[in-house]
Amino acid sequence: MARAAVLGRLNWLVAAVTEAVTETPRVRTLVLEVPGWSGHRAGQHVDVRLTAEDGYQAERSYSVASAPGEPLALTVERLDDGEVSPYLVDEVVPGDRFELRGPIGGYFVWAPDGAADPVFLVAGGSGIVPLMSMLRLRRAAASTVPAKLLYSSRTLDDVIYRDELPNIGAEVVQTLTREQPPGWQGYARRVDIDLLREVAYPPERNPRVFVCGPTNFVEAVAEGLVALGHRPGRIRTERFGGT
Amino acid sequence: MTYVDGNAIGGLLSDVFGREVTDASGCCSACGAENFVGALRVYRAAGVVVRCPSCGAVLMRFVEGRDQVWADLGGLLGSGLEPLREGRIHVVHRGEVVDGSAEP
Repeated sequence: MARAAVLGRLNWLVAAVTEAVTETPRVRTLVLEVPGWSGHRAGQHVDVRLTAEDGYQAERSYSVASAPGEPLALTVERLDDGEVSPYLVDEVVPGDRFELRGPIGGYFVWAPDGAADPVFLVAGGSGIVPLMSMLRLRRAAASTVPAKLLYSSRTLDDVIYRDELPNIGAEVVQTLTREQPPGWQGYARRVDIDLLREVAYPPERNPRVFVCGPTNFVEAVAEGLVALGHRPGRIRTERFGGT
Repeated sequence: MTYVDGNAIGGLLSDVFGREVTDASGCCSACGAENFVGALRVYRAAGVVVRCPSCGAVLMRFVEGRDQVWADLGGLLGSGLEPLREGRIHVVHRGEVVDGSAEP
């Protein structure tokens, strides 16, 4: 059924997979070609819709991993009981197509807009994805805004973008909460107020803060930062539920 | 029950309102707190319930059927958020479906 585009409303577009990159055993990045795609801002997400042969539809949101201006890329973590992610992580091959709409979200976005305030990014697990879009944008724009990423993963094998992070051009602080390889130089504990006190920019520097991860993780980080004196209005969060 | 941020339902919201509203502000009619729509608390079950992060009051409720949405915005105070006037969007007020073009 042909339907004219309605101004301001998001239309479902057809995305074709051009490349699938394995990031970790549970995570894959899909590079997409989407005719009609309008471009995105760093931090935004898209809705992906799959339709079964019997017409049943399942819809989920995924953050954009690429920087604005780069080919659209989504990084997806497999949830074992999921309806959409097992397909995207395990089954899709280049050439496959599915529907998406977006970009979505004007709240959890960042751009190097001239303000010199540092930006502090805190990621739990696949919460790194929208923050990576911001860091890639910052690098592509050669922005001098100070940026620091605090990234919590369970094990080294779970670290997404492991090879790219050392070259992202920002300070990267990692913690592995479950298991650490021999000689691990990073932190080895959960992100709590003490770790935030050590790692975060001090409140006096008035950083902009973006936190993304499971709901419990985001809750703990946001509360910790407020307790340390960061203004709630400077902290933007994106919780994706689960654990 | 775990929740996500209003940002997570940006697609549904743009479907209902016809524009990006996660960076618009919504005011709670129970406690008066004003928050970005993207920062409201979203609970998903059979439908979508959006609560005030300050006091927990229900601000918006949505039920999605195929290509149709029922929207109850009764907990918002003069937000300036107006659903699109389209047949596929049903505005619900105090439990009754009211015509999208009628004033609740």
